[in-house]
Amino acid sequence: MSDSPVVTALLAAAAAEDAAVYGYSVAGARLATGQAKNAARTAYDAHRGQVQTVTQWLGGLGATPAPAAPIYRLPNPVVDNPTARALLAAIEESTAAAYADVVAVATGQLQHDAALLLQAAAVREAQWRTTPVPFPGLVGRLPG
Amino acid sequence: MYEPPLRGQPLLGRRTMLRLLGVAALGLVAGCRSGKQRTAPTSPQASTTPPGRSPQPVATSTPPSAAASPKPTISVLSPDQLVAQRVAAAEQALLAAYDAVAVAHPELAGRLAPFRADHAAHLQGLVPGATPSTAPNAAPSNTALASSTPSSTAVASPPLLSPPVSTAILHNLADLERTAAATRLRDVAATSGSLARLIASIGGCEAAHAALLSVAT
Repeated sequence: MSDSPVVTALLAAAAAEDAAVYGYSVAGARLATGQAKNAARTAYDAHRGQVQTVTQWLGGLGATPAPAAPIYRLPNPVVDNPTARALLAAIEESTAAAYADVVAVATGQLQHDAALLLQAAAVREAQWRTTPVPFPGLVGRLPG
Repeated sequence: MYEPPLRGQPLLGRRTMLRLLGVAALGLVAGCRSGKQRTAPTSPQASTTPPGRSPQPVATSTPPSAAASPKPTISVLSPDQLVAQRVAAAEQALLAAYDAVAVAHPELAGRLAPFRADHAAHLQGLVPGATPSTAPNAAPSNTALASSTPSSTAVASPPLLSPPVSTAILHNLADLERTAAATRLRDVAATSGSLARLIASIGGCEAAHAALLSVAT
């Protein structure tokens, strides 16, 4: 039995959110300033809330996400402020990408909400990078 | 109690913002108009052939008028193309806003260049091969901005006035970006697939622009 495209995209979003929660718990302590740590804490809470939201969406479609993994492989070791910010930017890009995929296959309120969550991820991504990205969620798979 | 926001003394930034908003509104209005033109011809066609309760399997029973349905002589834009054009017009308006600021305040041009470049990339992504328009209606607003701003700043000493002016301009650009991001949410609703993904991403970029410009102030 194969899942519908919406369920498949939402399962990926749930996995991205679980990874984001883990990533923030790892990187938060390495951030240099109190302001950045506060921002990370807020984002951590947001991602935990979004795990619940996506799980509810999936429940409405009769699906259940896989439980979060206890540990994740990081793309690069987080040893200081720059590597922490780089990880958090990468995390937000991957959640933005997951929601971009939901936007592509969903309709109505779900599509709207996914687009809104993409925007929230893009805002956090830009804040960790301190520079804008032209196509958040599409980095590495640019159009044209 | 309730005071219309425009009642306050006419700040320089306010005037600039109104002009910028005007530029942006032009793009939006253009998009909305074309959207209405598209929906009008399709709706009557749909209502002319209500699905019959009793099916008629014989092909010859089809009314001749339905078989010889009028073919449009000019091709109609697909709904997706229309949305892409509408968003492209909005990106053009944002480019014009950044250009107007760069003309009036060259000291901000370098700082804003990455933001402008993103909108140019959006335009390319939506309409490959498109170039930022130097339409005649964009030129007057640019020159108006460029000429009006220095004359008003000349009243006070420029070094003292300079930081608040740039703050107000960045604030106004942040407002434009925020509005654009909200509009992209509505644009997404009219699309699906890769175009929906692209427009949602553009909206994400604009939301991020708004946040970065707000921090910069």
